[in-house]
Amino acid sequence: MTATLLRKEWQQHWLAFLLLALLTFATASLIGVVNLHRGQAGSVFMAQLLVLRIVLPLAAWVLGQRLVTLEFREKTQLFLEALPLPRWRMIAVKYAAGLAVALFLALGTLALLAVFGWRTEHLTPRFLAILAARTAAWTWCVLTFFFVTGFFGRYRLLLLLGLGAAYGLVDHFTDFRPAEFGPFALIDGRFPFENVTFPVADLRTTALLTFGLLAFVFILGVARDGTIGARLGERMAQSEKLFLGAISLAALVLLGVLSQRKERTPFDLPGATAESRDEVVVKVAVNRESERARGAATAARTADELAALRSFLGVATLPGVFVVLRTDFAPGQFERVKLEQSADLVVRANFTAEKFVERDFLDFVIRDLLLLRSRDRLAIESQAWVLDGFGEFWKVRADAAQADALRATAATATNRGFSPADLRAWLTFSQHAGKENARAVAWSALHSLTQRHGADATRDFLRSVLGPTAAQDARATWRDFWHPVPARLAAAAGVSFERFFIEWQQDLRAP
Amino acid sequence: MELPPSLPSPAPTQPLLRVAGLRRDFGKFAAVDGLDLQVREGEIYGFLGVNGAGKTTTIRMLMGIIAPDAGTIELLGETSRRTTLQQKRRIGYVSQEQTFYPWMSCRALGRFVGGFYPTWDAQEFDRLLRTLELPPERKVSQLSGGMRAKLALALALASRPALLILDEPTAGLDPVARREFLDLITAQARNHGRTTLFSSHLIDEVERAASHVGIIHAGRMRYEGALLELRKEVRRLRLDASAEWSPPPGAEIWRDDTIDSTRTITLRAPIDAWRDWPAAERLTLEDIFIACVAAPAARL
Repeated sequence: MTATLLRKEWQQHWLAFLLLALLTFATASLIGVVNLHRGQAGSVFMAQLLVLRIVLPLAAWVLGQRLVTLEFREKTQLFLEALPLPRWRMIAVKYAAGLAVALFLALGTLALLAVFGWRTEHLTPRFLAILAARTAAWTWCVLTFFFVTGFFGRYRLLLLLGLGAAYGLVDHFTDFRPAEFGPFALIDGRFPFENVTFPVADLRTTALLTFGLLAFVFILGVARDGTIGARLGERMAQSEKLFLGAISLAALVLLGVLSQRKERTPFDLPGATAESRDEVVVKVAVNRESERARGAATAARTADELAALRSFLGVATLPGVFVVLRTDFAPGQFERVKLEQSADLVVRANFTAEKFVERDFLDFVIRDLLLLRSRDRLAIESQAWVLDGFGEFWKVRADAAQADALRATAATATNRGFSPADLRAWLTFSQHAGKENARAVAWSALHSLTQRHGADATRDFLRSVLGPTAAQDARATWRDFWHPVPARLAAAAGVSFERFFIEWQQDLRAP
Repeated sequence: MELPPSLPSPAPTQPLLRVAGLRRDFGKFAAVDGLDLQVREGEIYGFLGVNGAGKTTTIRMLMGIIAPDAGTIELLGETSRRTTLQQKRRIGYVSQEQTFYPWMSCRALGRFVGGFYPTWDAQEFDRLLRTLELPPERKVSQLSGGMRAKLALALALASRPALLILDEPTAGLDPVARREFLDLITAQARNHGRTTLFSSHLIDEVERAASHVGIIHAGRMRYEGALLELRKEVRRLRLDASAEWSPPPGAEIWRDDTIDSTRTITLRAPIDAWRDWPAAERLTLEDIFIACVAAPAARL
């Protein structure tokens, strides 16, 4: 009976098994060989870690889908139920088949990588046993988990989304770190290197969790004459798809809101020179006492500039700006430091260099500050020209001579033709025309707007594009979709974008 | 009234299947509500009921697919609450819907099913495929509805079962395929003495194939017995609505409708009781079935 069932599973799924094996072994081999040649990974078993983290869950998902969901969705379980076959055995055979394939894939890649690492790694029996134990326990747990989700049929995707969201919430809002718990700890960064200590506690936790999941498998498969799995396995109605889609979207938005509300740790530079103007804080850190005066001047100048910017854009607060001196940098080299846990801007620059140009530095700070506030949405092609134009606009706002030079540059850059499509494909235009020329063209749009419709119209337009902070979820996309740049221009200046574009082109061609 | 021909009732034999007080609830709804049923050896038992009467639920309990909430099942001399695997191995089953693996060929499906029955006869299965004109190497996905039903029958018969249970096996078949299928069942019964229980809501099917009938309605057995006796016992009287009357002795009124000045009463009474009622009309099985399960006209 068991052999008959196993033969059936093999006949039905052999192609899927084969493809999974090909995918897994090819991925492991590729990463293993590349790492070996480049010598970057530190251990050939980094490839195994990637397989366990990415490929194996994918394989387990496919196995759960094919062995469980497919049977219920095609209703062929009704045929099996009519045979003299206990329901528990039907499930047990499927589970055993899935586990055997998953273990073959996981332990197979481990063996393969051990061959790769035969000369380069210090392979002791204990090290291999630890690797095998971690691999087998993780595989068992993942396969069992996806076997359970297989019974959820049409709701399995929703279940996975929910669990993923729960993982994220727990990780973000509590002190509990799921990545350090049981099965996840088995595939942490120590995996390729730990060759002495068996992770006994993690193995025990994983086993307990997996037994729990396994009990759930049999409850779902056998309880109430297997009707739970049958009900869940039915195809989803259109209305149900819409409803669940709406719920998923709402959950994603909610997660975004929650994560925004999470208080981020304020960044600080102890011992730095600080300057405050209204809601603007600038701190500059130097290495030596002799550099402190220069640092203080930079801080004061930056704070003044940002206070003016805040007032012009009409925003309540600006992120804190922290400048770190890097004397090894070239005078015109500025670098933004990416901070995961902070909303502040940290910039590295060599402001003590003789050829340091403060105007360029401030231009860089303002641009990155605006990008930071918009969560980089201002870099999106349809909006990028406003940011480019504003950079020049802000720089030359009181310098008529420079304005003339920019107008000439813009006219030259567009004398071969310029259309609204170039604004929508701004990065392409910028690449073809040259960065400086493109900035001049963008500036000329703002200049023309000021000349024709007044400084207030330009300010309102810039406030509507550059002022708002972007939400960290679908709402930002939603907002940009419903309020594109032309619509914001029309709202701020009271002129249609088409009309404005004609005016602008006339100004560009004016002698 | 001339009645369509049917199989003669065989001499009483041992009961092969006896069900007592069978009950199955789905939430607050009792799908099967204290059902009693008996099928004797060699009988073709027509299990008749309207859609939703509880036929499939009863059969799924007989097959051990779902467990009864109450009642006992005595099958092949062994009594249990739920049909055991050993009992199941001696039953051939054709379900209402043939949900075979579409990627399997007829022969492969036979090999697969044969793995679960110790009494499986591969040669008999091949013979059945030939007899039923089923191409052995053709995949299930390429078979018509009628061919799938025949394949289900071949699979059910190849294990040489003591009892054949068919749950509305002709549902969805065209008239020609239905007739062929019924002929196959009756031929099996005649030639091999195969005890068969088949459910249907089609009167002509039961009339054509069954020797005994059980009428189920709202989860309860309303009548059970030989088809010939049923026809003799259930008759219809037409009376003046204002006339005084008393029913034949031992009679059970199944339906009593008064339209205008005519009162129409359908009764079941022992055959002897009808001697004094020469005007009582004999009924077709369809009329009997409707009288048994339909709501009185006055309530419609």
